[in-house]
Amino acid sequence: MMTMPYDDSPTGPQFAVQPRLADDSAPEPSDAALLVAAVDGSERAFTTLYRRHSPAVYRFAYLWSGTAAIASDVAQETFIHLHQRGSDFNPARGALRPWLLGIARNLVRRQLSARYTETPVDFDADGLLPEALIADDAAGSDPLARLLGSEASRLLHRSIRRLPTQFRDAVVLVDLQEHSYADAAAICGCEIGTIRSRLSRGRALLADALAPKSIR
Amino acid sequence: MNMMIDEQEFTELNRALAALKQATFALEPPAEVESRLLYRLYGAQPRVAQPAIATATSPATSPVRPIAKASLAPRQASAARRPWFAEHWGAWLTWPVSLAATIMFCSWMLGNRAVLEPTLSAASPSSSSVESSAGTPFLALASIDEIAASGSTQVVSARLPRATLAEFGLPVSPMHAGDDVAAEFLVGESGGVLAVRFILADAR
Repeated sequence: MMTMPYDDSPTGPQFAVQPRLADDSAPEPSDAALLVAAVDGSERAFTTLYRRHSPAVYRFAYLWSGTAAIASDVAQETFIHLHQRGSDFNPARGALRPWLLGIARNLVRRQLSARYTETPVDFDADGLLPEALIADDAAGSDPLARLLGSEASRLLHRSIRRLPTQFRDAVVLVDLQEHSYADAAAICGCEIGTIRSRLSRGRALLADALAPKSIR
Repeated sequence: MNMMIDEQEFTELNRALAALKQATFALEPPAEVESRLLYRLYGAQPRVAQPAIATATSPATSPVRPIAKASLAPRQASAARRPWFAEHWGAWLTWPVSLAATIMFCSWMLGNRAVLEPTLSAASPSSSSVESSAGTPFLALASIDEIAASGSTQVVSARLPRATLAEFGLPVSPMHAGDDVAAEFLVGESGGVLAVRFILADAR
């Protein structure tokens, strides 16, 4: 079971011992309080956590992989991990969402790597990955493809999926999901300065990839 | 000039990033992902909408509705009151404690005739004749729930090899191991045997 070494929110330990939910004006239960209940077997607490964080997890996996099926699998597996290993989460080391996204990041990498077992791809290469690597995952039925109305957005997303993984992490997390540098660093397990440089490099590669059609 | 182009490229990139961000802002996992997940984790039937914890401050777009407020709090309160060792050993102790409780309950049930007697007396007006002190208590062969739900029951007499007593942990004299022993079966409406007792002729 997890311990609660911190609590800087008004809904922490007090929530655990007082029926704070009885008051309609009470703030939403914190992630930490919900996680305690979920680890303790509360389906409702788990469902609340799922609904609170699954869109971010799914969006991350979708932007990262460009594949609805992988994003769904990753979202499901991430929350299974939360259910089974939620006690591993230490709130003193950061918020729950970065922890979940860190898990999702590992899972989506694993899923993509499994796709290319026959012709291994160096996802950590320095330049853009081969165009052939980017599978159009049933573009017609792809929900994101329907959302991406403009050609520029489609081209950008395609280019993001060609980015080496370390640059892709930074672009997706900071530019598209508006995470702070600190959160992105926590998710990727690196220093903030590293995220800055990866983001800069990723943007440069994207600008270069977009340039032929948009400017030149 | 190159600097101008670079700036233009990044302006274009920023515009495309903003458009992509806006296009994917409302992206959510399909509803069936949640259903599958809950079914896998909790064995619940797949469902589209399930009550979740929310309060008046929940976003209007959230499909969740507030739950009865006290329903989560007692669980958390009980979690907070648990002794320190329960956090680490609780999961390990669950099965042994459950097993011990089950054994104790079964022992008590087998040793306490009052549990089965109401069923027996309801089964047959003449059942008082079988409540002889010469017999063993009825030994349950089905769960107590099945017995309670069995409706009308019948008592059927039969003779069994005396060695059968040993299967129920009853003493058998080697001198009489080859003899028969009278037995009475409590039979449910469906024909299933619910319990058995032995009429010990020696004791009569």
